[in-house]
Amino acid sequence: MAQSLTLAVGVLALLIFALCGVVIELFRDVRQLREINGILDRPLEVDLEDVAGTFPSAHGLPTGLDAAAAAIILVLSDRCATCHALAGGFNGVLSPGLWVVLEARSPRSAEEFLARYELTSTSTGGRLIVDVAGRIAESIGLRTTPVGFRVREGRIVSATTIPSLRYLTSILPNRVRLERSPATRMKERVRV
Amino acid sequence: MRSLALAVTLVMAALLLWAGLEKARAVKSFASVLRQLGVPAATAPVLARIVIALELSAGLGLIYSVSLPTITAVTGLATAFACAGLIALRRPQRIVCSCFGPYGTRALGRDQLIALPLWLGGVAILWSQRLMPPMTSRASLLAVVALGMASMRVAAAVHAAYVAHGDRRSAREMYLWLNR
Repeated sequence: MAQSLTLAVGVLALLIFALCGVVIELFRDVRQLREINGILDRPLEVDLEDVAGTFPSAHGLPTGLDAAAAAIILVLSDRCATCHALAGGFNGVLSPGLWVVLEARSPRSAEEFLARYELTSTSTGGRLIVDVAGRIAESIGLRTTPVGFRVREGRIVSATTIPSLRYLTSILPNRVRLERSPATRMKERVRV
Repeated sequence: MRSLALAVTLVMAALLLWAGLEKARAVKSFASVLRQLGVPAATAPVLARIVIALELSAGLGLIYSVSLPTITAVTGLATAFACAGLIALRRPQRIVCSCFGPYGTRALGRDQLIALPLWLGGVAILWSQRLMPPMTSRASLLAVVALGMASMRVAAAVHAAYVAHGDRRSAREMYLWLNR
């Protein structure tokens, strides 16, 4: 009896193996179809012309960005559907290195947008700028959203459209930090 | 030494069963590899089925009885894989190995040549020990091998589902962007 049961477990496990193989194959097929249709993270480079190499503050952005080693300035609009999807994915908090400029039709629509996605100046660490008059977009010559501007060593170096939250996450600057315990740091201080 | 022999049995049986089951799901793909290696088009599907049957029988044979036919089958398969690797290396075009299913990306060639001494070493260990566990233990061995394979597969399926979830969300966002 025990032997038959063990054998049955083995056979069922082999069946699960085969079935999971089919499932994996289906996932791969779906991905291929999405790739063929071009609906997977297909960004477009934005030609910056004379904006490249300028300081962010020259376009009305915060001067703090002029000192940033690496950052992404994401320009969103309250009128674009993808912008709403991106803002919804932030969960009220901005990742390190991400600054958001919200281009809004009116102060009221800006308020509604921010309230809807729980974005406040506190939760975003002061990295949220509301551009009601469209002053920043006009200064840069921006006609489309959502667009991400890459900042390196305090200067705007390139820009790309942001088709999805996943693509945005992939281009965010990654900070690599040393992980040392406070005790180690204390010891070093004592030695000095 | 007996533990080593047991471990070798488990690994070799799992590899052969995995390869056999995956090839059985996509016989055409495996037959296409055989054609690329120079097997005539009419013979390739038949040979593909023979190899699959041999792999599955050898895998089960390692679990149920390490006999001369089983050892011969494993040695023969390992030698055939190495020969296929050698032929592939001499071909101008890269032949993708569908050793573990149709979605393999590794090229047929060096891996199979490196694997030959490992297979032969494994066979030597098994032959020197000739494990003959009681029937209940053999059923348990099959269950262990199958559960190990299934666990790896389930983990891969869960990972694929996670990636697909990201793809689905990305596609939805991209759709919004395209239809502005």
